[in-house]
Amino acid sequence: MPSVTVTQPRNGGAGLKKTLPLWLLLIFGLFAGVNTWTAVKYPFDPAVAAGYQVALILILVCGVQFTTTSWQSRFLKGVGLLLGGVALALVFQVGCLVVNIYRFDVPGWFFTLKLHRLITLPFWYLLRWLLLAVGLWWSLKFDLRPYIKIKLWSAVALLMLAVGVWQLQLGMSQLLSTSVRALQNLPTPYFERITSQLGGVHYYGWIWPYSQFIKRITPENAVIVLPPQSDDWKMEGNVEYLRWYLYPRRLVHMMADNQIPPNAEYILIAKGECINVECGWPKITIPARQVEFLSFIDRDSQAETLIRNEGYDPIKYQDFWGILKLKR
Amino acid sequence: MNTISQILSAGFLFGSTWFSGWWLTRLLGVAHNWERLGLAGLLGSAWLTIVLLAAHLGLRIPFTAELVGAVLIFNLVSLGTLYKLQGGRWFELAFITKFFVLPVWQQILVVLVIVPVVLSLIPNVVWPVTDWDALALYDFRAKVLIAEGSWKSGFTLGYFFQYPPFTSLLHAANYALGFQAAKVWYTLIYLSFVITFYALLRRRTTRGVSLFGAVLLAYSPHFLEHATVAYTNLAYSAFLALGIVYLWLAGDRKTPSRDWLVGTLLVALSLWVRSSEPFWVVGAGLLTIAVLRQRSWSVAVGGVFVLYGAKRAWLNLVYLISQSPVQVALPNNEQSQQTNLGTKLLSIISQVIPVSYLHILTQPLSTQGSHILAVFRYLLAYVWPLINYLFVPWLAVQWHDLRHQNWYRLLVMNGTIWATLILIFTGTYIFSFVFVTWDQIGGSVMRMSMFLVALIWFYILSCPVWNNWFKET
Repeated sequence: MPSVTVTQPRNGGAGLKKTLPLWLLLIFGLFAGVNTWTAVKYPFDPAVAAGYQVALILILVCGVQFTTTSWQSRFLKGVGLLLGGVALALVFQVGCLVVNIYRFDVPGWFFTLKLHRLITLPFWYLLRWLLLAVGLWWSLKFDLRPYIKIKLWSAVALLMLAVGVWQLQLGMSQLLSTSVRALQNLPTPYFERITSQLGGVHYYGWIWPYSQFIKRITPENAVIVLPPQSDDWKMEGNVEYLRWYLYPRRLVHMMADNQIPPNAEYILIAKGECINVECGWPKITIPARQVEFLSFIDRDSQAETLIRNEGYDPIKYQDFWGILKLKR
Repeated sequence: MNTISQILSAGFLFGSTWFSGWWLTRLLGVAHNWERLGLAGLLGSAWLTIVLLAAHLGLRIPFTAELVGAVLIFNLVSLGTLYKLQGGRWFELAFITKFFVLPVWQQILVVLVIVPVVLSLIPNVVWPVTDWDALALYDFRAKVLIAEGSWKSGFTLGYFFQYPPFTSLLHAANYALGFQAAKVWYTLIYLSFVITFYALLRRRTTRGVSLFGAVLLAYSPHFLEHATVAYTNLAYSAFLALGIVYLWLAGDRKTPSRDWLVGTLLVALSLWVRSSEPFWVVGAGLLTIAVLRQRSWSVAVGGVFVLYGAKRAWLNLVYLISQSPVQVALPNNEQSQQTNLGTKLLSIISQVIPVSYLHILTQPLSTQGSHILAVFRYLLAYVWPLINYLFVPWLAVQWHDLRHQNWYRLLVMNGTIWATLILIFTGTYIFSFVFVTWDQIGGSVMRMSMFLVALIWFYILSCPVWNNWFKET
């Protein structure tokens, strides 16, 4: 990098000093808001992410240029460094977008080019580059020259500022989306929010209605046999986890060779996630003479069914959720 | 309980806790107002849990709303009385109005710090506790305490006394008073952490840099995430990191100061949150440096004694809860049998140096080498992402301290950080021989190491170079 001096801008921008906080808040709010509602993560590759961060920093720096504090001389020196970085990022990105070697005789080749991804990018992505261009124009307006004298601490400070802006944008967007989602669940009764918080009845939120169903069927001093703890029964097979939902009921596992513990009173019927093993648990047949009743809950409608005088068939009930009571 | 009652309960609980902490800071001799404001939340919540447990176990009072209410009133009356006797004024919060005379850009930074705190309050009020480890342990213990009035039934349940009771007691206090949103505590801890961090930075650098540091800490991804998660890691990181920073500041003087007391107390309280990690040893090491720099034998010995006592506190309390010297499912398979002096000493030494694992050194070199490589890769995957974006500024500041021969900063402050990294590596290396599944809980080692982020940021931003580089107007 060449070593040069930096001249002060002609116009210190004193007229805009009072509105600076509004501009900064607008910019950050714009990014945070857009990211919240689009829920978009950093796309594609590090060069793009780096260019994005540099754009944000440059916008902030240009905004700071409107002040007349001694920040100016320091940041002016750093902006040159940023411009160099932006130029590199742009070159790299454009290079990634167009330099591809594909077989153009294959149908649909155009859709494999990275150029296609540029065309189909959402507006918010292009907006960042628009803001970068506006920021650069502001810099030129204040007579910023791309000659700088690099000083380590300005570069380090700008790097930390980049970290701060990155964290700010990421944190703000995550917090806003989390808060909005939380407020949307405010009308729901307190503990029923667990279902929504854990992704709904077709995801881990199923544990709330399922556990409440078990609580309704079983007395507080019940001993309940759970499926084995595994990826297929992450929650319903984990004693330490499920006990929060079912306390003070005692939760146990099957003994060796799928033997029912002698003190067991109830056995969960759990379809599971069917990842590593076939659906359904328990895997053993329990004859009708040992079963007082079978009670099921439908995952979609949460309708409950009670069946008496029938044994448990692992094949017939492999897709069911419920609980069975053993005869004493 | 209706909404109005819940709000009143919450106000009473958090208000009493915060005021108790505010008065405690005065009694501890904390001079700076912003430090007092930040420490109030941490010390107040710790004091609440200690007094609650003491009243529950010592006076054998069932854990009920009446107990919690009585303890809150007791804290207010006792600490308030001591506070007034020391000449404190009730409302000393006028310094907060200085916000309105700050430069605009500093006001923006203050607002940026407050925003995540306020936003974290929303999910913490709305969502119940659903975090996995919280349901399995921390919140479950609170549930049992409220349901049974004591923890005695916990002895029949596995995985119950793994960790000290700090967060469980906070949750239990909430539930006893009928305010279900226990996660609000984590917003309080998060806010206290950030404010205290700012105040400590302010001792070493300008207001602008300190505020920038507070923003960096507040938006640090892991701390921000844990502000809405009912785990112990945020509280542990807050107590430990701030305690170490206080000990740093205490050691960088010619004469002893109250910072030794506050720092030791905070590191000891970190053991009230989590006691499995060995990082309290770092605090003990910093205390022994007091002997070298300030000839403060009493500070060093007393402080190390307090830390070791805090390390053993939870185990001893578990024995008390059980009310009999029996073998129970305790962390680290501690036994309560009578032992001779030699075994006792070995037990004490093993808290610092894992002597029972020295046999690992007899393993073949090739085995040790493969474990070292595996541990290095593991920590690269889970600990390095915590600090990778700090690495360049951290290196730059180390170079600055070397160039300017600032040996205290380089050897003690920076040395603490490197010593912690070595501890993490060594501990994980030992684990790799002891537990077959040692490398399957990467999230855990990341959470355990979170406090490093605060330490490194403090080391970077307290560097004198920023005072010259950045002149505030």
